[in-house]
Amino acid sequence: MVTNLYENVIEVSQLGVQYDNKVWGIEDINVTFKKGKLIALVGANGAGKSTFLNALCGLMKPTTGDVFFNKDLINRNTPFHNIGWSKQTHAIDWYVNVFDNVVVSARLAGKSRKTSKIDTLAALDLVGLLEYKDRDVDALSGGQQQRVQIARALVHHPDIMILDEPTTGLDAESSEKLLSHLKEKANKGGLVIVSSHDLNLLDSYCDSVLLLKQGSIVAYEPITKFISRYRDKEILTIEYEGELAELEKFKLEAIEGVVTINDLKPLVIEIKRNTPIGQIINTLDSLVFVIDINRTSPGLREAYLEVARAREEV
Amino acid sequence: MMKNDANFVNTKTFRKGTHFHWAKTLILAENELKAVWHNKPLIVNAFLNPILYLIFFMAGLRGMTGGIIVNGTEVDFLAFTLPGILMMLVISLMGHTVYRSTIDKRWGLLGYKFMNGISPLSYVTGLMVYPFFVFLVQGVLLAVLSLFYGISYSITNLLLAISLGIVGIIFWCSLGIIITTRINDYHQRDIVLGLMTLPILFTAPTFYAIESAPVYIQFISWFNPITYQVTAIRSLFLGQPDIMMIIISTALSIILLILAVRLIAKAELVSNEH
Repeated sequence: MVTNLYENVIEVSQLGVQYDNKVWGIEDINVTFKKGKLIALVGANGAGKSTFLNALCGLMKPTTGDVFFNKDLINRNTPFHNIGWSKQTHAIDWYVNVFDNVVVSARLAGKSRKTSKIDTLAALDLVGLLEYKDRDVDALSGGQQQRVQIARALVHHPDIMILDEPTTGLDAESSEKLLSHLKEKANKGGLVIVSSHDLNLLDSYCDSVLLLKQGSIVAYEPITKFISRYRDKEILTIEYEGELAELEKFKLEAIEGVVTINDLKPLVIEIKRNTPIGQIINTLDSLVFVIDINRTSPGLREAYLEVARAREEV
Repeated sequence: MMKNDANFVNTKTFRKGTHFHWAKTLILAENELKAVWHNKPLIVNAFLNPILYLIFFMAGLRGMTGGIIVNGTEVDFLAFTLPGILMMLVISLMGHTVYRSTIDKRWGLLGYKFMNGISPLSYVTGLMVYPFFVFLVQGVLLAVLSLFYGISYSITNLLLAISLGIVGIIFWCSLGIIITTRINDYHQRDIVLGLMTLPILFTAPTFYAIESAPVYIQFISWFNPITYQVTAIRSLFLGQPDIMMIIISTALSIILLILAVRLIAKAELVSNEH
């Protein structure tokens, strides 16, 4: 794994990408990625996540600025020997089978035919596609096709992984398994950058969060620090029987300590920290039959939504 | 930041300096052959084409004409048109390169291959392996079939003609890649290819002696690469090598190959196909 003296794996300086229509996809990005980290790249659709990742691994030429990789990890002529890369859309050769789509990555990374075969079978096993190895890729489901891409990104055991929405189309179990594997890789000194809209999953596994909005970095910090900024709030999730009308939502919002109502069924209420919930329950009891109440501190998802909302207000 | 820091490498240099690499070219070629093997109807079509051209088209036309005069010697119509059929096959193989390079562009595999150290020259030659292979088999198939029609030829001349046909494949497959890099729209590309193929084939001495054609076709033929290619192949097949035509057709292939390599090297790696 990573043995070099330098902590910094990738350094990004004033990176900007302007599309053909003159719109800036990303602008003035300055960031450093260190080894041993699993980084969550989050942002709304069109925030510039894919453009950033494409520019990051050299697939898209920056209009401004530069991306530098640690020389000890990257061979200039064959960068993907040590980068595992997976696109948001399926970069798949539809005319070769599952096994051949993956094995070619190992072969191009310089592994022997025999080692490539062993590693390919291991990678397919990891993503749960071993029994489909001889299948046509177009005969697989969307999630399985996504897994082919992931297997190809993993097969040559790269130190750096750049994955654009790898959990799209994956079931919960596969997503957990993938993130767990990526976490293990980061723990061994690798660098993993993963974009996803599954914020709860990212919350469980990632070390840091990089939030992009309209092509610019809004936040880049450890997830715990990112969330702690919003620790003055708590989330009440209430299961109930019956119906709550829109008008009754206003009644609840008027209660002291209630910040906002995020959802009606189940009822998700954001409240100020340490707010007594007696009045909320009493009000609800008069309207519906309460089954279960769950009080939690906000996670990445809530913090992310908070930042997104705050920015919109500005 | 550390632009001159020796410990870091700029992504802008990733694509520069990737050199032709035999092992990687062979891996790519193997992958291409697997992709074709996967598409059985394509293989059947590739091997039926020469048979059908010869049996139904050329043999039918042969009944209408006795022979054609080439350099003062009367040559059987089939012997005259056999290089023309070879040329038709060469052009039809361009479609394969267009199709595969389009898939690579459309699905982001081009970027994937380049970032894995496939040089532009490796990429272009890797895509040509299947056309080379198929053309060899098609050429041999045609040669064997033509024996049943009483055509005689020297094996050496046949092999030389097929070899020049392979040089022709370099031209047409390079052109296919160039078209793919320049046109990002599927329909537009199909229209261009469709409109291009027939006029190019019929404004060259593919199936007739150019001297017998109207003056305007004779004029156009000078700007048609097939004129040089088919004349060169025919001259080798008939045992009367036309050195100038051979040199011109080889030079055309080299020029197009260089152009294709240069253009694919600068191609966008993030798909803009639609």
